[in-house]
Amino acid sequence: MDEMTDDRDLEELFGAGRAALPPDRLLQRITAEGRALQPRPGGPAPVAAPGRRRAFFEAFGGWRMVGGLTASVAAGFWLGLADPGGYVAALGAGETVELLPGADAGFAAIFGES
Amino acid sequence: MAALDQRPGAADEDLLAAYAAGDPAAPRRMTERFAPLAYRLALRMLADAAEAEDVAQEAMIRLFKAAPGWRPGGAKVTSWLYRVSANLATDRSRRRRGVPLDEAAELADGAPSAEARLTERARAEALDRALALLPERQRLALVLRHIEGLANPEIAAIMEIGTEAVESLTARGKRALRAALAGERLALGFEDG
Repeated sequence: MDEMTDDRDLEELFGAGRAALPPDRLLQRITAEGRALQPRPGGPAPVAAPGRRRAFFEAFGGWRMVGGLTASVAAGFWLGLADPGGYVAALGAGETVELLPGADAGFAAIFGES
Repeated sequence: MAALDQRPGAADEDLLAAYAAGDPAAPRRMTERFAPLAYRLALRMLADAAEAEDVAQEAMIRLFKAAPGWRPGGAKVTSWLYRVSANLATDRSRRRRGVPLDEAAELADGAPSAEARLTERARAEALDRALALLPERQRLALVLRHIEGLANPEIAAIMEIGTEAVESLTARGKRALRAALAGERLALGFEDG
């Protein structure tokens, strides 16, 4: 009979599979990796990667910067709405404000407009 | 005096805790304890010694990284390692083309003669050839059950299936192995009959 029907034979075959040992060079490599990755006693705690919220704030310079930016935006918004000093009214609706007096004459001189 | 922890796998958890605490002997002890498991499983799954080394190294790196955050009483360390190794081996198996076993794994010492060692090697190679013919799940179940010697419930946990499915996989796998090896019985040193 030429068929492996005997469980005992199969078990011996599995035994050959169990006999495999990892080579020493692999064990040395893995041990070295383990030493490199091992936490040091009393050393700094591993730094966790920042979360998404923290990363967002850090992109704008941290909590203090974001706080200052928020306060500035809020103040500007309030000034725009409440106009406590009457700046908007003082300008007058529909009036033109010349930020650079005489600039038109200068441009005309440069570009030769009559 | 603290009571000795009798839970299965408690000693493995202690080893991970020693590693996390900076015990200088722990990397070597962890390697000696766990790397052979990962290597054997990968070798039988892939039938390629170089690839088995890569899988064992990657699985161990993951274990070293997981050690500081290991929760005592949670997953069994060896089950976790088997699962990681099996996943890594399966990924490689799916990526690669069929590579023959070009470098026989070192065999454990203790073989009484060169002839016996050759027989052992021939059997290991025949086992790999036959295992390579099986579907992945059957192969993994057989390796965990008959080479690593795990109980069905642990295999079920590693493979994330029921114990009945494990029994079915191993039974079908053994039948397929017998058929695959039918013509090699005498060549492998088994008595005829």
